[in-house]
Amino acid sequence: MLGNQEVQKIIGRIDTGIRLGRLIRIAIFVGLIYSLVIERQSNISNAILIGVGVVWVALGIRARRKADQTTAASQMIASGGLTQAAGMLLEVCRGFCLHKPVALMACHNLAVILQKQRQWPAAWQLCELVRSWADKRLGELRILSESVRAECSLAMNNLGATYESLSILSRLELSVTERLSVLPTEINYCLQVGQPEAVMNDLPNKVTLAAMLPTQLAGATHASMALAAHAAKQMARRDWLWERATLYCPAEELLAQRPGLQDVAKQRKS
Amino acid sequence: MAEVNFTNLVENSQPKRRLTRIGIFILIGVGLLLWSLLVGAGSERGEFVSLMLLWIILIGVLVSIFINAARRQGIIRCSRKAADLCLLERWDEAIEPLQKVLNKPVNQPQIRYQGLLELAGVAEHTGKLDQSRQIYQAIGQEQPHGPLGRLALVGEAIVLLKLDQLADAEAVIRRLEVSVEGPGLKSLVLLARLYQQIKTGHYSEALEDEANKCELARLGLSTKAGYVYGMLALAHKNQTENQDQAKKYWRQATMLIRPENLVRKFPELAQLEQAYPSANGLPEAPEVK
Repeated sequence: MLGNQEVQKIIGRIDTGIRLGRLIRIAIFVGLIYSLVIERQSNISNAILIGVGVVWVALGIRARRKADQTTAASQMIASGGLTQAAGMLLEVCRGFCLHKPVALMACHNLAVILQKQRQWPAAWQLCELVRSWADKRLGELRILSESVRAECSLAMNNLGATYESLSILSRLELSVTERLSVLPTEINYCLQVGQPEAVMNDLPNKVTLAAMLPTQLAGATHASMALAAHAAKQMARRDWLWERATLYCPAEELLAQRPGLQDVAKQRKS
Repeated sequence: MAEVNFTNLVENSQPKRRLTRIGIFILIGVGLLLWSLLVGAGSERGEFVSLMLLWIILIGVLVSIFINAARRQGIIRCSRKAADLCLLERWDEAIEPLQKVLNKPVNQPQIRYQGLLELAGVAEHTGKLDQSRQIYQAIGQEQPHGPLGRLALVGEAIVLLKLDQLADAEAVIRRLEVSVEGPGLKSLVLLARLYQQIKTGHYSEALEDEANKCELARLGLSTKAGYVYGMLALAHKNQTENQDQAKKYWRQATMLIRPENLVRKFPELAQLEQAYPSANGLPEAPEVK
């Protein structure tokens, strides 16, 4: 598990690294212009040209290696090897990387690990860092990070930040996979702010999406939708959703996760 | 739309060897160095020409970087579109973006194998079982030890069963049973094994250790556990004539997956559709008064 201090250190390093990378890129550009346009064909310009070339290639190779490590870590996260992936990502985050997208992707993956370990504040801080640096070019990363931020904010009971993230996401054109990562948070947010009717809007689509989630999450999402249907007094839908939820996860498991479902379960039994 | 030969896309998407590109760059660099040493040095005209060459190459490199980046973005966009359409099981619509992704060499292995798996799925669901088998086989051969290779083997086993090549399917399933780990892959292998037992009429074997099979399917397959419930329903119907249990499994299966989709994937389940009532879909919203 990562301590708060360590997360702060990583954030500091990535932030400094991105600033430094920006400076190096400007220096490379200025060096190129100087040696090719202003002071061309002199010994100094040749030396600058060679120096710039060597630095660019060396940093490019380093960034490539870090990109490969980040990709490997993503695959490890997907297959459940969180500890191993975290070690690899920490290594990426601690060293300097010229390419901002690689550093931010490593940071986002680390946030995903912390989210899975329910270290909400640490994950949230990493998402904030990604958010502050990810521009339009990094659209997909922004979306992924925003959905992690939304979930962390909701878990930390920061409804304002959750709303902010969800409204940003609702304005974007999301792919099915991205919609899947947002759906459970969106439903739980509506329940928490007392708007079960909002969950009932476009319910067939939500059910189609929820069916694509992994077992535990699919069960929990169906149960949340059942709770929303109960609150919105749509009893036929509530019973159908609860029955389906219990096919994904046993009722006891769902009730332990969310005691508010007791009523739904009782009504269904009776 | 013209008939698409899916298997050609496997060949077309083979990544280019990186060494060829690096070799071209080295050749250009060495050529330029020789030019400036032998021809360019000394005369003013030579210096001007070598400077122009340098600029042309620099601009060429920048243009090629931008073209490559744009192409990569295009591939990523199409690959995401194809993934979405396959997730939504809109197989026919997925053909076009998949063709765009796989018609040229793809240097990102993750995108290529994901695309090939989706292509095999499209071929399977559009009735081109032979082509689907060939694609699964190619992925399995290229990635014999990776998780994507194992996924491809499961797909291949199911397609072989659909093609009635039972001995080949048995060999693939055996290979998988001794090599896979983790509930996700194990449950997929279970699905292939159950289908093989249903297909060959070994219903009593299909019903062995039934509770554990259900639990593994639930944990590993999520909604697709419906296929396993459907097959267990069929085994009960034909083996034990335990109508209640068969009816219960069929209800669970149709709660998760619509009956027409169950039958489309595994036509053997059609007899259950007529024998037992299916679960209703999501009820309509009550009318607001």
